Amino acid sequence: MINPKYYLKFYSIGLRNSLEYKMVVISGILNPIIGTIVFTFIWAAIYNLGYTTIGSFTLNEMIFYYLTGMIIGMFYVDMAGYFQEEVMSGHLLQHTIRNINPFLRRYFSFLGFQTFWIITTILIVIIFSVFVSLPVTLLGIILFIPFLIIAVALRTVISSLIALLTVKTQRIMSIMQAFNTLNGFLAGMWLPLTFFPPAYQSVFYYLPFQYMYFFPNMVLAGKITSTQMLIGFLFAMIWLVFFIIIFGPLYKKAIKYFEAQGG
Amino acid sequence: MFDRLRFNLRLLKEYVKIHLKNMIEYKIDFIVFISLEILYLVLSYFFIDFFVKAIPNIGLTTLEFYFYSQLLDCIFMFFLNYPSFYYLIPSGQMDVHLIKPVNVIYHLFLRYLGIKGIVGSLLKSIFLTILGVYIGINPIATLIIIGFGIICSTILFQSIYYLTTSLEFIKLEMGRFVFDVLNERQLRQFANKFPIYFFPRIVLAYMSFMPAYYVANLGLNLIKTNVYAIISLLLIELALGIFFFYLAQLAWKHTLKKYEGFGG
Amino acid sequence: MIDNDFSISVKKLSKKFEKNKPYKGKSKIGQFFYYFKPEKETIQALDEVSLDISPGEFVGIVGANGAGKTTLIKILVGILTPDSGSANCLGKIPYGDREKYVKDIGVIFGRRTILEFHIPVIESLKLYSVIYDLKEKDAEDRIKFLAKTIDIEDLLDTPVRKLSMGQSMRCNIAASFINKPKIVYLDEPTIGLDALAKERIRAFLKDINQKEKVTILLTTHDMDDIEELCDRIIFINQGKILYDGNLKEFKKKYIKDKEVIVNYKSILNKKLFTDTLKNIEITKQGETYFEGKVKLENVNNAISCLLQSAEVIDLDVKEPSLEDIIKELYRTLKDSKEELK
Repeated sequence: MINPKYYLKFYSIGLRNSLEYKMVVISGILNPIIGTIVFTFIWAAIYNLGYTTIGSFTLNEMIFYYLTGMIIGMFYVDMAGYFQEEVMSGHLLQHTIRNINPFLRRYFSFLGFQTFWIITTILIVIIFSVFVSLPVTLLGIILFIPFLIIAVALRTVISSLIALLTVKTQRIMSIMQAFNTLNGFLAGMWLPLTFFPPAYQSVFYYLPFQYMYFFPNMVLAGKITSTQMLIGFLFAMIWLVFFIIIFGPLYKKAIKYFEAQGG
Repeated sequence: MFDRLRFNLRLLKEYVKIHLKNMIEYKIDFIVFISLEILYLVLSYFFIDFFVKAIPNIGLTTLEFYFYSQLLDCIFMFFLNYPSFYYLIPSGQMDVHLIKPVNVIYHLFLRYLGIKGIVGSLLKSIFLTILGVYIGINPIATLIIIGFGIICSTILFQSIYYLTTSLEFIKLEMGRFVFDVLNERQLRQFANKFPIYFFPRIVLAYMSFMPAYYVANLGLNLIKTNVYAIISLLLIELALGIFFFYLAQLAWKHTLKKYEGFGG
Repeated sequence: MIDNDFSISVKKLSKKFEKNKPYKGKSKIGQFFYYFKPEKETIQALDEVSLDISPGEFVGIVGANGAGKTTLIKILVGILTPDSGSANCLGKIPYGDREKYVKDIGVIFGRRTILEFHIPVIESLKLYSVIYDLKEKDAEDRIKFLAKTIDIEDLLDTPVRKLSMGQSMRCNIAASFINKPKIVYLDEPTIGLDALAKERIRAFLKDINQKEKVTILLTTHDMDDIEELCDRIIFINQGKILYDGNLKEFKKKYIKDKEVIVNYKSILNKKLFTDTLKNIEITKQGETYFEGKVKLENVNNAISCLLQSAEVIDLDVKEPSLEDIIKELYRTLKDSKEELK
């Protein structure tokens, strides 16, 4: 295994790349601003129909849900497309020879590229919270961070697991799309899961999806009791550990299969 | 002029043949694609149902909102396949397209035709025709309006795309930047999730040159059976489409002179 | 002005590009801010290039990497617009009437395939016949002819992605001739191919150039391509044409030395032998054997002295290859813009 500090080098390469694509970075900063403003006005118009809460969310909480979702989304990267490209071009061999984990490499360079966007999105949320009273507390932020890490780790590991299928089939993009569709709905990206009847919500508790989006969001908004938080943390960790455990040997098998094919 | 039309139609036929052959060769891909669409159809119905139940006076029933949302998907699916200039130009692949005796924009449109999307869109339009019956919309009207909606939206969207991306020939990234900053994709996604009458007026005014605006309003007026509004929307969208089409042709003609080429 | 005597007529063509200068400072912060406003430098890719090519000529364009070969080709193909000067090909301005002009030309860009990757070769060729608006019967005959001549009949039903490099290049070349072009531009068509593949492609190009009188412009780093195919060579360096003329004359003019290979039994006159060797740049040496380079003016004298000073078993005098001549030129003309003619 290579020295972990080499992954920091990939981070700096990603950051360097973002400086080469300055205009893309600028458009990536403008879009969340426009999106947030439009989203706010749309929901304000809906709440103006005569609602104080919808799906147990006030208007401010709904806006906050969207903004937090933006922050969480900033840390997500598609591993399937990347890995498929690496396998088909043969570049994967270059990583495996040097004992570089291609997924970690991809994640760190992605993080480098995203740095400006992550910083500006957080700034947007802070600025917005000054104008609209958003339910942000210091405790919420502190508790949010580990859940954010779990959310990102879960998403990345699952996406990487799907990506490994590239060595056997060309159809992983369809599988990835299926996962993204399911995740979009069941993780609460489209609508907070509180819109669902309680029976559905109790089922979602046992699935990994909500821990990738909805749950960390609720933690930051302070809409979760400490008991729910602990149970949620336990379930999230069980899923994360489960996926990591199955990832290890599957990764080794996939690399061996890839190398045996002659790249 | 007729000679040119004959040539263009012949080329269209050839490319459609090739894309269909490709689709048949990779039929499992197509089956997976259709399966995903069915999954999306089922899941989105449930979500819309919960959404409408949570906001009873949203102005639409579950079926109506579902019809509205799926109409947007159906029309956009038809043409949401376009080349990535941000890859074509730096990799030098654009050069291969520039050496063909065909209008470049037309050729790129044919070359990158999303046949899966087209077939999916056609299947979805049949689904919408049947669904429309349950909300009191004449099925023939649905089909005709979807057909015209597809034609007008394709012309408008592709023209705007090629107009903005022509700037890539002047400076790499500029086309992508302008297209991204237009925010068409984000606004379209919002229009898909929320009835467009909830949008602030200034945003609606801004969106008035985007296909999403017309398709969203088309859906709402189809539900209300407002014939006059439907015809006006289609005519305005078509007029805009033709305007941007000519603008795009002009833009390409001039920006190509600034092209510096890559990969040589 | 249309020049009807030439297929290609270029007058004082110039083209420059701008690129960012690399950051020279040491400060990381300085480097960060430099990315937002980098200094630019201008590269003169072509500098008042003029040339005329007659119909049916087979011209080789050589030059080091970055010399301007591909820029010239891209202007002649109509992809790039020059900053100044003019180009007239087949009576048209390539970058002005591009759509009409490209109907009569064929182009290959090195390793970039012009065929559709996922479909069989025959489908790609049929598509090209439609793109060039050939009648169905004409297209069928043309594809049959090309498939036979360039030997791709067995490959027609194979998707391009499954072909080897050599097979793919042959199919690409077939596609570039499908419209019976008057001019064909080949930008490094044999790059990365094995010797057999190169031989087949050269045979085809020679044959079709003679039969159909196609004007062919070939840029290449493989001097064997030039020696086998071209009568005329254009040497470009740093955007300027340094030589434009007959290949034989080029070699005659720029051969500076010859290679000698000597096998001898014993040395008869040690002093004469040693003195003779002083005028030979030895490249390889064994006990009774050596190879070396002798300046052209000294060749006769060196041979005479060797024969007198040693019991020579075998003596071979060879001209350097075009490749060696070009290499030597690259070395000496690194920064020179001197006209060679």
